[in-house]
Amino acid sequence: MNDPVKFLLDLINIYSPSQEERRASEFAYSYINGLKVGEVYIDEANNVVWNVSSGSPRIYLIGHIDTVPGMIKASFDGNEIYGRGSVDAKSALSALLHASLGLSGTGCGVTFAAVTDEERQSEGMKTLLKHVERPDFAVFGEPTGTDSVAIAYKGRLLVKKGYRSSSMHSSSPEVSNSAFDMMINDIESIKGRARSMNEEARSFFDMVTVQVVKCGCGSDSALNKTPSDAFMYVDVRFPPSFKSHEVESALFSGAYSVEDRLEGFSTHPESILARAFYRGIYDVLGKHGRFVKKLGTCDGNVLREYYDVPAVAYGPGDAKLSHTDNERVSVAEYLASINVIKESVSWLCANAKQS
Amino acid sequence: MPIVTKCKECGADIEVPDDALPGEIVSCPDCGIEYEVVKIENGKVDLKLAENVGEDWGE
Repeated sequence: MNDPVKFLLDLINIYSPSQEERRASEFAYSYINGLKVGEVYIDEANNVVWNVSSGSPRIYLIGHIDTVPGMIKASFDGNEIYGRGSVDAKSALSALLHASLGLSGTGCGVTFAAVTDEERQSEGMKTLLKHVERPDFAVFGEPTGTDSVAIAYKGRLLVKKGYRSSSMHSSSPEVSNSAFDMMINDIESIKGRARSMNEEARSFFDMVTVQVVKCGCGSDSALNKTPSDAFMYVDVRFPPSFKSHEVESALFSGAYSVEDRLEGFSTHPESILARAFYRGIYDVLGKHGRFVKKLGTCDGNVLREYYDVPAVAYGPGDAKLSHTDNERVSVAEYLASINVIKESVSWLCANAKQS
Repeated sequence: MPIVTKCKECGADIEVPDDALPGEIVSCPDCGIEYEVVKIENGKVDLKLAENVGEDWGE
């Protein structure tokens, strides 16, 4: 039985933080299997993969089934659905799923996937890309709001650096830098180099940004000694106009390790995929859509490591509520987003075939 | 059938799809400047300089 609201409420009530998605995946599998359209299976990463129809062009609709930790049960007040993942991103996932159902007769190759581990290391997406064919277009389920479509995401470098010095009595004059001093001086230099890369930047999206996300030094048992060891994790975000290796060599020197690397990507507003969503939003909502560039990352960044194909993100909900205890999505928006996706992908199918 | 108009910046030909909606973005193939479609009427297209694409924090 196809019931988008009940499905979403039930899915939210199955707690599925990254690496604990199995029950949610089994639930989605059973629901899709009951729809009797196409073929569905669960792969070794607990991704649910639904081959809705075969044909050309090949379009992937991909949402993530994991959430950040912290269970918040689903509730519904008649207007809004509350609960963990209602914004990021079970409502978008569910919208893609129900839109897929209306796309089985388009003659396009439509594949829906509910992938795991997006909030951690994107292991679900990486596994999916090993066993599915190259798509022509991809749509990712993320909260953009029903009238906006995300056409660009920044890239990310996560770098770990360590520092070592001799330890001195903390009463001694500052004759040499402690490991802590070395770390502070270094981050100031890194930020300075990033600033010089931003001289031409006209927006936050165009900027290379540097944030320390974790650091440490010293010892609780020796509060009268300067630290001999220090470490920090530096999270660098950069626009698609830079490659990660360029950013790495511009900012970092000495000994360090790259803990995570994702290239940024963008899809031009004139591309047929972006145009399809502009039209879908206009046809369903009766207003002009908005293109946005995201300062974060999503599984679309992982896709673009494998395939240079047009990709956008779309889904109901306010991204500012992502990961908060106040996640909630309007049911009217959620249901409208299903129609926007259906209209957009139908138009894409028809027009991509002609071009 | 695309409608051809001139770039106000460099004079190059810009092709605009004849089914483009107001608000859609087109860019000049030569200088790259981006325009927004204002309206299409009787095979003629009005363009204005595009506003910047919005930004959104997160995910």
